[in-house]
Amino acid sequence: MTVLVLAAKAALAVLLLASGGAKLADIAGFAAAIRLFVPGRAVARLPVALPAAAITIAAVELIAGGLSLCWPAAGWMNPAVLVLGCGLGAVAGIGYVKHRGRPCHCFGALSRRGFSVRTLLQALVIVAAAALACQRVHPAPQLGLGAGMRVLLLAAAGLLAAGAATAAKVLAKTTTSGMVA
Amino acid sequence: MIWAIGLTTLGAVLCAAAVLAFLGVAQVRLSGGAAIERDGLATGARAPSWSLADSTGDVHTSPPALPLQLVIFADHSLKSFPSVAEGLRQLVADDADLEIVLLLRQPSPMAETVLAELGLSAVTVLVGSRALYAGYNVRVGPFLIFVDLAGRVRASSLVNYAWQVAKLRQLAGLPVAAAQR
Repeated sequence: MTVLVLAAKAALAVLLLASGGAKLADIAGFAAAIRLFVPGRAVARLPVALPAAAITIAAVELIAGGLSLCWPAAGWMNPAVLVLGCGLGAVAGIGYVKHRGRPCHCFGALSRRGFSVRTLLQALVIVAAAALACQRVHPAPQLGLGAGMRVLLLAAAGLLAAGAATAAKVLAKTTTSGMVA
Repeated sequence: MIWAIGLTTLGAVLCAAAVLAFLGVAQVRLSGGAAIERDGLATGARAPSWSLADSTGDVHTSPPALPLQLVIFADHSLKSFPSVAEGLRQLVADDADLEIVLLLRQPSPMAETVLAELGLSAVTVLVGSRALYAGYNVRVGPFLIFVDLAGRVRASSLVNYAWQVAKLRQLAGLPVAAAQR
């Protein structure tokens, strides 16, 4: 059970880091996806709010992923990740009902998929994994990382976020132009 | 302690696997003909700025001094695209407010001779670089990008025929907001 819980925790942290990094590389695309969930009047009144919200969400995902991965003994991170997962589930549910087929930009330009049954199921798996990670099956001191391990994980987290951002940035470029026909 | 080591190993392995997966996804999606057709820059995007001297020593810049600049990404192989050359000759003859430059990826002594043979002596040949091509997100030619006085892209496409050159010129004349729709 402990292995399952820790694997779920690590996988969710990696998922958050990748998702946050990719979103940061294509803020305009992610802001367009957020716009689907905001009333038109509110968008007109606060034109800078959408990019600001997009940056905030991406940054929160990066921070949550980084903290969860590098400070696994911090038990309070698990419910926080669960809340993020539930938010993702709610967005996937509303998106499936109201905006089926529209791109969700869950992984920035890395993902071309729109809201669908598949994204809904993926979101449910994420919520289940986050709930699993909340289980207390190991004493916190056993998860206390040494300085070396923490530096290694921080480096891996930074590399992952940068890799996801780079790939998403390149792909975002290619999705905006086209051949004249 | 063993859990901490296990979690660190798992986290690092997952991060590395995710980075490789993202780079693989980007590689796959950027390769192939369909991906190359989507090269270039989106209308309204900022084009790279440069200042380059031609073979006579005259310095040409981007953003241009004239209202519109056409940057041709090609070399002596333009000879293999007679229809594109015909479209370019039409532009040279009809459009006095258009600066046309051919940007080479690397020095090509044959380029000016070939352009003269094609009746395109009025086109300025400039020696660019791989980095400059990458800045325009261009991998293959002939590729055309129109840039306005403000340094913004007005139209961008891979071209094979004269009608594509003419249509791209029409698109470049549209206001940026209209062309983006």
